[in-house]
Amino acid sequence: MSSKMWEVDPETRSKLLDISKTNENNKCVDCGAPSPQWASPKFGIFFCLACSGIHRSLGVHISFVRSVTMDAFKNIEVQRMSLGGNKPWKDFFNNHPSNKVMGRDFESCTIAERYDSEAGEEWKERLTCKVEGTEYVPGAKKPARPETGITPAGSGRNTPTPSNVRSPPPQNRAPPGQKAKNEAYFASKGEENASRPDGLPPSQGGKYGGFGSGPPPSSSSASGLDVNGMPTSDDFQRDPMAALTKGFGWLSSTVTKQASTVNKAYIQPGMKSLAEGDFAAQARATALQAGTLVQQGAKGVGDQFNKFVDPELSQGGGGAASSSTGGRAAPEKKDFWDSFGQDAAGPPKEKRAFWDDFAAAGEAAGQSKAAAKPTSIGTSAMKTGGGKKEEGEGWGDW
Amino acid sequence: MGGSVSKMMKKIFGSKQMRLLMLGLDAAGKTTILYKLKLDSDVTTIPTVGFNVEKVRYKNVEFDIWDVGGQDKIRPLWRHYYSGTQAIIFVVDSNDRDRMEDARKELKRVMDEGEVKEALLLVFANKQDIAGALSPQEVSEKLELNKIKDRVWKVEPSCATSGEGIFEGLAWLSSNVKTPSR
Repeated sequence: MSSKMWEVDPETRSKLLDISKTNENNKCVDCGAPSPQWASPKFGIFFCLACSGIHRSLGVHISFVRSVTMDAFKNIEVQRMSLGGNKPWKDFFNNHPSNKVMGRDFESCTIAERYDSEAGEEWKERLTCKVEGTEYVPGAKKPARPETGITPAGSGRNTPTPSNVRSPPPQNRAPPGQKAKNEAYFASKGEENASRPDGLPPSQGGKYGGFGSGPPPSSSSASGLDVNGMPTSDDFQRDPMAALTKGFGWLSSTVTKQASTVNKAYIQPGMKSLAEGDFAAQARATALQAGTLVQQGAKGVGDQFNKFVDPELSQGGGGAASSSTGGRAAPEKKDFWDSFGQDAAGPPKEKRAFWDDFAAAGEAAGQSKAAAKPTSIGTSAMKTGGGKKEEGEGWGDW
Repeated sequence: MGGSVSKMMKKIFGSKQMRLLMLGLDAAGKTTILYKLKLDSDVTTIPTVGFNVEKVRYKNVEFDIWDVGGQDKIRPLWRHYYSGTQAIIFVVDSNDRDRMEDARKELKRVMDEGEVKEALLLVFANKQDIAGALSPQEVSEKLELNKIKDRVWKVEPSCATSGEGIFEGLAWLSSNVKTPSR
């Protein structure tokens, strides 16, 4: 394969060689340097290496640069090269009404002015028509790229003049203080970026924000739990009750963060009615609310929650837990919840026992204090999760 | 011998080294990114025939960045730079809609190479300053990044001429790189 890539298609090669002998194509269209090895099939012109750099900086919607020796030319591109030509393009530019109005000619313009111009657009369209064998109709632009030619002001692109640049970028010229300057510069860029709006594309002043797969699976997950206030498995071994309470602390704080109003609207009323009776049903409803919220709101904690809920599940259902670290986070979380739901089918007997226990616990809590109630609910709910096997049933019912 | 001692010292004093290989189609902005990092200036580059290599220090990481030319017929040379590479930076011209498919193929070809199996992948969706450039999400779709398995990757929108996004990309690389195997 690679050997094939190395071979320059001899036919294309000889065609281009022939073309380069016509229409003053043996001199760089922009600076006149001899034997230009670079070309813009869009314009059908040849230019030198230095000028090719400036053509590339204009963007592919204006000029698309190919190397005569190192790039493959499509058939249509070869045709454009043969039907275009350095001299015809220059003449066209000089005779174009828009340039006459502005009183400018090819020599007096910068490269950007030559190609990012009305004359340039028309030349390209005419060339397309010639290749396709159709008649050129002024104004009958192809609607393919409405944004063609529009580069926002202040885009940061420099508009180089033919006289500047031209040399390869200098190497190792950074002064000693450059690193500090660089870091300061990038830090300032970061701050600048942080203040931009999220919804817009960067070209319209929006934020530059990347995305990708998660970090590689690492041993830091335990500390990650701590960061989120989640209990670790050690906690469970040492003091299950304390860990459960801690667990609820995490759950409730998450819920509160994501939707503080919901806490008031659903969980607290739920707690009150809990105290009155019918604990199991209420608890389930409440837990469902909370669970939904967590699912919707607490993105990113899904996998940690998973581990917290059932270490075995996170191993067995590796697709869920490990892939949210290794891969695309959001969809996996869905998988996790789905699979979690499926695991649910289990002996209802145990479930009943659990909910009875739960009700008893709730009753006790209800007698003590209203404020303490959210804790007990969440805790109990988490306990279903925190336990070994039954939690599947408890949660699966949702 | 002396080399291994100095490597130990480096490990002890926490200066990470990272070898990066910057690839992508021609005119994607690889060289511009390299010299933005190195010189903090917007140089007008010429097509890279061969390669450029620069050391860039950011925070406590020393990056060796290799920037290899992207013309059609010199892409087979990329593989000679794979060895020891900890991360591939794949630069895409987000404005070049017509060649997204080419970019996808080239990226896939690189990703299939065993020598870079362990390397992180950072994709710069470059030239975001041009109106009409594809968004990073669109770039990621066109490149079919979601099909990449067993590799840590990130898409970062960038504008090499102004420097936007580049810093974020490097920061991501330095925080995700595993301790050097060498």
